[in-house]
Amino acid sequence: MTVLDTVTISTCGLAALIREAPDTTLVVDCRGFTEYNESHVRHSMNAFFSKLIRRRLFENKLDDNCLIHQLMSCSSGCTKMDEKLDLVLYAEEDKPRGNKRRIASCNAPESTAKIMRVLRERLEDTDKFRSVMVLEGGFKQFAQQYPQLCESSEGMTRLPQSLSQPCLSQPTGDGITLITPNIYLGSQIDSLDETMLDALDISVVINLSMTCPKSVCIKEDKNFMRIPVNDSYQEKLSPYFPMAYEFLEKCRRAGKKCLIHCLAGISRSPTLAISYIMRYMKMGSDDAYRYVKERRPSISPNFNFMGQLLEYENVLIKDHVLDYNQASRPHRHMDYYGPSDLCPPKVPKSASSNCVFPGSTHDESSPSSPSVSEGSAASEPETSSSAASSSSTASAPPSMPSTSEQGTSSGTVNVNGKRNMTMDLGLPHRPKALGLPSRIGTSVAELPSPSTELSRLSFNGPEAIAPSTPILNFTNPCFNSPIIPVASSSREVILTLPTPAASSSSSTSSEPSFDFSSFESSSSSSIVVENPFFASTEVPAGSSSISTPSGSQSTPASASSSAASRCRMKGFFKVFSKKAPASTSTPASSTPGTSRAARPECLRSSGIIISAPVLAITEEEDAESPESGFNEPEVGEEDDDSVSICSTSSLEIPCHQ
Amino acid sequence: MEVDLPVHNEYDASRFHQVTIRDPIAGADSTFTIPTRYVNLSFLNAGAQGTVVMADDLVTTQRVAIKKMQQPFVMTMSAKRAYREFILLTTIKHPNIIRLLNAFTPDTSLSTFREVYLVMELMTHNLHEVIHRLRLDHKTLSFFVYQSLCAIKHLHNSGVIHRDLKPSNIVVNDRCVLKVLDFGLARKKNVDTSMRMSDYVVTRYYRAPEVILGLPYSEKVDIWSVGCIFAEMINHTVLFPGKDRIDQWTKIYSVLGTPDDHFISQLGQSAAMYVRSLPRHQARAFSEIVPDTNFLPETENPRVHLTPHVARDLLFNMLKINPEERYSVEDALNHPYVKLWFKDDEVNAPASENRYDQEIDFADKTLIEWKELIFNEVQRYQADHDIFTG
Repeated sequence: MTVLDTVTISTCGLAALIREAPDTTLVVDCRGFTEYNESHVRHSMNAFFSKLIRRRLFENKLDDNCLIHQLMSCSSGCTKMDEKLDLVLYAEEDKPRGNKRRIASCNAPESTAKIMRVLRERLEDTDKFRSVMVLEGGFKQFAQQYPQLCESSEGMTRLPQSLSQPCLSQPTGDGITLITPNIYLGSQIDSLDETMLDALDISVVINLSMTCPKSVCIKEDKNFMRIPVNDSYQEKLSPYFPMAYEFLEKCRRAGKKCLIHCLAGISRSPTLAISYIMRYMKMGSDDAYRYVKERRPSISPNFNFMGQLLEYENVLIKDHVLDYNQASRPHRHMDYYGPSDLCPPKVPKSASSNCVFPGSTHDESSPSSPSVSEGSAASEPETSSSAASSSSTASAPPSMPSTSEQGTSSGTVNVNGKRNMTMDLGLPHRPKALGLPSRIGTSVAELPSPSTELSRLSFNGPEAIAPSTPILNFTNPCFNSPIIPVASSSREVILTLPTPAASSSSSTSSEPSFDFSSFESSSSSSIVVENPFFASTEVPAGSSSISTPSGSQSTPASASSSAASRCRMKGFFKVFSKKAPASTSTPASSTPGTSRAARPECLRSSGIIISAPVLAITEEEDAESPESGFNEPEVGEEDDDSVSICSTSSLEIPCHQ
Repeated sequence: MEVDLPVHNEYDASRFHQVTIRDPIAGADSTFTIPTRYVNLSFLNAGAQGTVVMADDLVTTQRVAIKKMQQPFVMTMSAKRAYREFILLTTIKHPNIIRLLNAFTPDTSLSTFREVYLVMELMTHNLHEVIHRLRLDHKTLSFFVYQSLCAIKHLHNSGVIHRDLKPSNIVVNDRCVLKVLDFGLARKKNVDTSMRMSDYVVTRYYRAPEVILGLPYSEKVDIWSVGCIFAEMINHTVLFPGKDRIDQWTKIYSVLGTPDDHFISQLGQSAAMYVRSLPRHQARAFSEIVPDTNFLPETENPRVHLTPHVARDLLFNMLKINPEERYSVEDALNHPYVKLWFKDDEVNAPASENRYDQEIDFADKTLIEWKELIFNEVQRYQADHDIFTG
């Protein structure tokens, strides 16, 4: 029974992992390549399927490095972070599907379990992972239960954009999303998805994090840029905009595709993408934000970053990359708070402000001049920048040499003067980590940004997790509490209130309500509580008020059909707004009373049921919260009605007071 | 022999029995290994954390909810959450906070430890459902607000900020008793805010401005949430249904008005600049935000201050953008709209002992360590309680 030692994860557990912690979960599909392509767990990678590997595994000829290498196929930099990863392995369940197995068919069915076990143990022994687990029930069961968390490779290669996901708009963000023809946004998990990166032909990566492992697709350091920032309200991201712009432009000119990612692809990496769009497409920060948001709806940069984009916009305006008119909210902050807010206070060099002056005077004195340079610049950023640079070169150059990183980028810069300009953007320069990914990756043993991690939990998780949801399902047991007979007029109802056919144990619940002096009577006078059960059995068909099945309004005053229709509505109880004309006219409302009201003790008489369709329910949770509650237990048949009432009423728990 | 997975460990068959529950949604079975006192299980729901059933407790003759936390140790986030929930549930006791009735594991050793079961009061509705199905009269409205305030006051007194209050985290029963459940994000107060615990902590709609804007926050975030829920109970629609962070803020200030510069200047410089750049809005009148027509007029009772006007005054003070101006829990509980329910033992219940150490939140423990922590806590609970007949 050694198997028992195998750490396994249930299908449900894996689903939770994928949804809640995609960035720290690595799912490995150990089935054959064909099966994998047909369908696999979302973001899973295919490994360990080859005969050779398996044989060597059993012969113990695979050392740890080989194993890891299998996983992180190319990147050496990421192994450092593996201890943050939960690894989940899966294959097919042993039993029936032998016929479908093609490539992996070499393995006798029963050996799959063995392979998985050995593999798991070996991987665990490497101590490179936080945990290594095997999926209970195999892929098939998972796919049955969570088809939305599975994907096939084929769709991927064909439609890069839509591969984001078949299903979930929420939890794991949007997957990899195309922003411009050569720029993708994604999360850490996306950056580790070699298959997809291959399919999309992504070879360049910008990683905005202290600790996320280097993407698997990076073969050469020059294709990798790490911007070591946290998703925090203190972090300065704008100093990296110019450098990243260069990097992306270089990549674009080389015809390469680049993935920009951070942990979740929600705050940091979208900010950088927006900054690029602003400059490349000449958009104000608001427009650029919308541009990216349309393509990746999950983005939600923090306010600090949004502010930096705005600062960047001002800089771009000063530098004539953007037109004055393109300001998202043209200089209103200047109007209101004075010009000091316009520039980041840290603007380091006077030289940069030199550069600014000509621009800004132009802006103010002759709005046309910027647009001229813009016009000449036209669409291509390169030309625009050269044009712009020509205007600023005079003042700019002195400042240029001062910063060291310029050297790195200047190699590519020469093509157009823009480099100079960007360097002049007047943003504080910080040490940059270009080309030093592994060192950074290793040095900081930091938790993934809690914010982004928690986002998954709080946006999606809690609803699913909260014990509240279950409770939703529970039908309303309120019915064994005393029943209020519906009499011919609502006024009579009031009178009859104290004669509940107090049925079961919970009669207590209503008792106090009769003590309510003015208060209760006023409300009950206006609200008729109808219990169909009761009504159907006892009430003569004379009642004036009948609730419609949909709930709220008492409409037909027609008496005859009432009993029957009441039965049909099957709601446990229907509360409807009084105002059967009679009762309205005689608002028993403020009858005598105490100054202190009794506590409400019966939910059903504490308001008016709203018929469901009336409400446009906006809450997200709605998607998940099972329709339940007041209407749900309604069954079709009249007979069932009483049955359901009885059964549900038995569900009531004496709830502690 | 090579049998794989789901074989369950041995359990004490004299005191436990196994019941298999079918999850009709996922179409999967889940096996509950529970003391024999619990019978008549029926499926309630399944979530990421596990499966919940209701059952009859033969000992107390109550209907209860039993939550099986399936392998809460599969990932550190959920393990941490499970641990936190367990500790808080076992220690915090207040009439308006969901009560743990029992907790156990059939597993006898750490190595075989896989499952934790929590037995809780069964409540009938969650507030989310109530809000959208019922137009509440003034009395119930104010009573619900009162009870929410009592709950968070008690949590705060016990050193916990809930941070994730929302209608679906609040349950009520048919007798209008309201309870807060789910401590998933609850955290002890006075935590070093340099962590800035993420502005994701509160489900977006109910998230206080200081959280969205990245300011340090206090227990007043819970007041904001109660305010939002209060308004939602009146309007039957989410007060600030933000689609993302920016949109959330936009929704807030376009209703409540652009905050003054004193408040904005507390933000980080870039964030402040961004906030200042947004169009300015005048505050809308509260009589417009929660109009008279959304109350049930015939349930007003001016003698006990149950009127739309008074309700709006309370709401107005709970929904101050600036937390310094916002009501504290005590202020709110003393407000005429809820004051009439005041009972000292509810409002000033003695603080629960809280063994939950917030340092644990920041602890970077391995799954195994979390598992052991949880296991020890469950063992401790079982030692202190008679789980079979208690």
